[in-house]
Amino acid sequence: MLPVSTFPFARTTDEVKTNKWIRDNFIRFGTEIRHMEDSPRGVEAWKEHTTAFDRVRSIAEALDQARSAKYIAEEAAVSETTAHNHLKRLAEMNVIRTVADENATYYEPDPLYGRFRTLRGLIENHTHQELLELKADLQQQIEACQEQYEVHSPTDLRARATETETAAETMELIEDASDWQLSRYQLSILEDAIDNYEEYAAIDGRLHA
Amino acid sequence: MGVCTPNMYAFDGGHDPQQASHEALRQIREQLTRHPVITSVEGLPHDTVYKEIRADVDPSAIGTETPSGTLTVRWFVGDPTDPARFTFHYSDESGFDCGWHHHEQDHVDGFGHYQKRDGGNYVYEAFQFGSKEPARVVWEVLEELQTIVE
Repeated sequence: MLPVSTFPFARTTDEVKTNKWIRDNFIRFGTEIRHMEDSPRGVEAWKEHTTAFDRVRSIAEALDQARSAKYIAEEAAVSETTAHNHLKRLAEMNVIRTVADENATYYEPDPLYGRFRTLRGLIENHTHQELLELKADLQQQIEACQEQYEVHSPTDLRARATETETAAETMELIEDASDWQLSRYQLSILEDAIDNYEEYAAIDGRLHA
Repeated sequence: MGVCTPNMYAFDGGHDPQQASHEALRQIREQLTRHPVITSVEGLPHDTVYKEIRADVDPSAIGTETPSGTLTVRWFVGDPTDPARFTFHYSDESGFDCGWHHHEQDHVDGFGHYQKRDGGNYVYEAFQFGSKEPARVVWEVLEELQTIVE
């Protein structure tokens, strides 16, 4: 690794050549210039504390769009063959699902699996009354957003974020729109948990008071 | 479901930003729990339905005589064409306050930046994240934090 200060400004032909060599062989990661063959920051520690399967799963479960096995392999710091094998297992377990176009197969989180995982956490960790209180909180958050911005949906608020004068205002609206979206998603699962609490809790072998 | 079975879904870009934000935060929470410098993690405003993750950092793991500090994480997913925005912000009992953020701002080119409080204001510098996947960003930021605090 080279400290940032060794990244020279070019004044002579030799310095231009040196800069080109650095550009071709090094990349800036955060506060450091790193050789391209070095692992990106944090990856060595990540590998030390997790298995290849853990890393593939953690990338695949949080993808915000369908991605190829090659992309997931690079992000998870594993070989493409390893990624492919683990992705196949995760698809068989319904943790992720495959999507395809004419040319390739992609992977994305299985939305139903994610939803049931959250539902299970709600049933497992809360009484029926606590879920009702959480629902009231989320509804209050949504109503507060509607009143504050006088719009009906987070989509409307996101649209407004494109019309602001400063980056800070844009980010503030995007944050609130995202929180609103998240509240709606969580509320829909909470309602499912509340409506079917006794049945789910009985299936799970637990029944809170 | 197998990888190449006839049951594969058509490639329709089944993007749901609501669920993607939720899954990103859940994954960040899981990675923070696994990281050796983190002593505890909680979701806010509720530990089960949260929009923000707060993690306590073990001061002895990141430096000598370092005060106790807290890492606060937020993650926002929008349209598929829109980059994810996120903030990893650290502050400790001595008033040290800094963050690795990825979002619109007027101080440096691009989204990625490092900001640090200096007196009453923040100073900014560009920061290039090695990845924009939630799990990877957790480990990258915590390595940066260890480098800066040491």
